[in-house]
Amino acid sequence: MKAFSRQLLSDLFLVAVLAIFSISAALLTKGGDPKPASQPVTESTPDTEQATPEKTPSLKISSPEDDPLISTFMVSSTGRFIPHPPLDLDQFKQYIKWGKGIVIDVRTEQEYQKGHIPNSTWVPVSKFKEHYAALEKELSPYKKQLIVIYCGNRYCGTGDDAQQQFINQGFKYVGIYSGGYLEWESKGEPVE
Amino acid sequence: MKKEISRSSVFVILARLVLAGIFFYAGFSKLETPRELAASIVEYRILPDSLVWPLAVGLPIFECNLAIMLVLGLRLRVAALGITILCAMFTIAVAQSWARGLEINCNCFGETSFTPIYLILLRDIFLLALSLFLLKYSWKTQPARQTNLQHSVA
Repeated sequence: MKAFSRQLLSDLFLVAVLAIFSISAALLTKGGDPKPASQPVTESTPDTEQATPEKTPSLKISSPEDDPLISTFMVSSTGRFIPHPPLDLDQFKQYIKWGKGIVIDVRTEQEYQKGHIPNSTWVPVSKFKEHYAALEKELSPYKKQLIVIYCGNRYCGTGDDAQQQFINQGFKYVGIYSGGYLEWESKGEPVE
Repeated sequence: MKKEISRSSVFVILARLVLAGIFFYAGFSKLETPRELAASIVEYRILPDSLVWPLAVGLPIFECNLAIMLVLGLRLRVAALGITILCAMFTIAVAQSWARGLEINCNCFGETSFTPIYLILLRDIFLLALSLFLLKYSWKTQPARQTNLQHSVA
């Protein structure tokens, strides 16, 4: 019995070593977490600026008091344009409180019907074109102001896809709520 | 007696091949999509945020390593134990999601479509049973070293 437990422990140790080796090798080759839990809003670099559909080297808000969120999220202290920064929970709540924007849910119908952020508009990324066409009149007024989209969680790629789709439709400021529905719900925020 | 032995060894070889095939396929299909896997892991709501990414990138390689060890018969007992632990973890994760009424996308084989959760659970239970059978066999054929020594001394 003693030998059995000793052998079992030794096998468990080898399994753990193999697991640690696998994870270390993977982290070395694939790099660290691309979407850490709290992503600070950083000033744009030349590379990220190039990724934006429309070259806007600098954007100066004439009256920041009118659009406090635009001034917070889109323009840094030096007045340089910050393209589509992700919003954390506090910023997202501030955006909703602002009341002038629109929140877009890009998840599947099943996920949306199970629960969504109050007053969010559903435009699933999988059927973007047809849903956008149906909602074009409603969405068009937001083309020149910040809109915020969200998907399931901070790793879901649908948020990035949807961001690109909205940019292609001519939306200038498309932000992503980085935590997604999972964070919103797990933090006890209201859902519909 | 001989027939019994050959029948059980055929079962063992089959179990090794089935488990190795499934785990290699599962690992390989997820190797290039760690972000999708991370998105699925987060939905289980078990792990803290800091562990999600290491697991998403490490799990596919771990699965492939165990599968290769199973096929080649390298440290069979360790490989069988590793596979059993993984199967047990998967079964518990899926069962708790089902109990909590969570909608999860398994992403076990890199798929993006939803599979009914009870089917995932049934598959995991089957794999767990198969891996337990293999683990039991590997302990029988490769018992603890000290026991071997005791036998030889006796």
